Amino acid sequence: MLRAFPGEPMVADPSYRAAMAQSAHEAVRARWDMHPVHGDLVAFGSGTGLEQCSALGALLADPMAVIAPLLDDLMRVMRTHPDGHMPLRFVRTAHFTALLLGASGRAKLSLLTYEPHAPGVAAATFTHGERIEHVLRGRADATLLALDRLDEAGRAVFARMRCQLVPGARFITDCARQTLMVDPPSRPVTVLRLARAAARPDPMRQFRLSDGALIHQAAGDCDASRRELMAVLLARLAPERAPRVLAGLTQGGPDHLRWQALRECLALDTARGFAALSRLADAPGDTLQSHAAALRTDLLAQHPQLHALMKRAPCPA
Amino acid sequence: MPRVIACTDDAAAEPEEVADALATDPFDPRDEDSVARSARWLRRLGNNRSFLADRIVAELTGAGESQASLYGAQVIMLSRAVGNCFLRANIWPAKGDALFRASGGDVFAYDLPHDHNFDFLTVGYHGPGYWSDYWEYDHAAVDGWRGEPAGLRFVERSRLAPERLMHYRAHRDVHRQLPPDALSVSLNIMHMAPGQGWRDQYRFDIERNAVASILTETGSEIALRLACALDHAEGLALAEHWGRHHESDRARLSAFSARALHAADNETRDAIWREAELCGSRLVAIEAWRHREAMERAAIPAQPVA
Repeated sequence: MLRAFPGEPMVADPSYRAAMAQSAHEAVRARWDMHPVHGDLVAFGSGTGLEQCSALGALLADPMAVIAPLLDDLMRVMRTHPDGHMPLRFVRTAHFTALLLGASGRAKLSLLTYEPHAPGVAAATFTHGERIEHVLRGRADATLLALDRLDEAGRAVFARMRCQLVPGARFITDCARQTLMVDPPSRPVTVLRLARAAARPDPMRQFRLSDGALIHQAAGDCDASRRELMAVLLARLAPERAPRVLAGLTQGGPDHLRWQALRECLALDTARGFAALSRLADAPGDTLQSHAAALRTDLLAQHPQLHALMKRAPCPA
Repeated sequence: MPRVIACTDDAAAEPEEVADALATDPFDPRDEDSVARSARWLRRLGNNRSFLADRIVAELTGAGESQASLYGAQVIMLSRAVGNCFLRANIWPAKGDALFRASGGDVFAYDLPHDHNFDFLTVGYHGPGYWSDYWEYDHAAVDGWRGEPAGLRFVERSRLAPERLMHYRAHRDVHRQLPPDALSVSLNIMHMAPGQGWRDQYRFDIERNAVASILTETGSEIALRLACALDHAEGLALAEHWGRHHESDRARLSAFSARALHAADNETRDAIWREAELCGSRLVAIEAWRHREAMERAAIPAQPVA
């Protein structure tokens, strides 16, 4: 409700009220974004060591000194402006509820609650990155599951260590090899989580706990997945412009992106694609070198005219 | 199903031009003339056969900012919020595309029957277009509890063919998207209404013609839940207040759920859900009854086999 002037009737336009409410929420978000932890997230997210991020260090040393005032601000604006909604991203599953407090580059800062009475989990997930969790409230038993090795059949062999989540406890995990599996608690367990993905993440892998079988694998880098999708789309939208860009993509980035770009380039422009293929095939130490060399051999066998393209390439000596 | 908009215009426009037009003449889905004008701008954007390739080249060569962390792999934002809407492009992989094979269809929202809590205009831009099964329903007749009969009326299965321009109506048009026959792209003008976050979007169970779940949730509900989990005094007080007074039944349910999460024992938890049952909202009452029943079932010790 807005009062225009004393004695004037109240204005109660729902749309206007909602817009004002949202502005109030955005203002709280903007104030939070000014907190020094966000500056440190930028540095941490681009690879700076945590020891050089004093605000993040202080946050991890005494989380509630930062979280409590933030919650005060959030609850205050939610009470005075219930029509608005807090512009913070979140994730909600049967096992946990997480609010993303900040993100930059490869880093994410979240407030997370492990939900009570959650269903049991049948699989363990390993991503390529690091994670620090500081328990704020609640207690639960957990297993620190380590991916010890893969057996001859490619099944995961795990090492298990039981542990307890108690207020003040801190868990630091190398997520490519370790995962913290929290037993469903009887009451919520809330943690502050700081995570950072690897600079060049390997694929995410998910293994069945009962027998270690690999049940799912996905690109570890959302940006790379997006670039792969856009590369394929560019090849369809602009087949005359795409080969130059696609050839460039073969030079760096995750292997799945580079390989897809190479395939698309070859399909559109034989000369440019074959040149990109040859660069990979002749690059010792490149993770795609052997695949590229094998593909080049196959192509030359099937299409002998491609030898002419090889002869045109300048001698590297 | 969404309204097909007959709109002929051979002119082409850049995204910036369309955004500027919408900033000065906002898209109002309640006004037929506004829908027609906005549709015309979307048509002109669709007539521009080079802008999307330009954007992609810029992003792939590093000249443009990566949007992956904000919007995911599938979405290309074409404008910031302008007035009450924004522009975006969506990429729809086909089953044979490498990324679909690697990630599955779930990540692209395929095979998920749902409505929308906002209006939007869409046009097929590239490729044969994703398929949709379309239904309509009466949102006002639904409270939103799980399993509630939804009254869906099937209309047809069709695809967003190139140049086909449609108006999806909030809380009326339901669709289940299916992969296109080949990689496709759609362009959207997305309407943003104040308070939209409190309007419920549903996922539907087609086999049972019922509401499966409420898809919408806000950062506020999550923040409230976490505050209660942390025993934050004002959070707990706000949860009590929202449970009694919030205009959104979903917000009331979220508030009761947050209080129940905080409860120290089953007796307290049951009392909270009992209060919810009596709060006057059918959505809250039925979901609260379900919680109480589940707690009662969990408390009954298993009978030994004779």
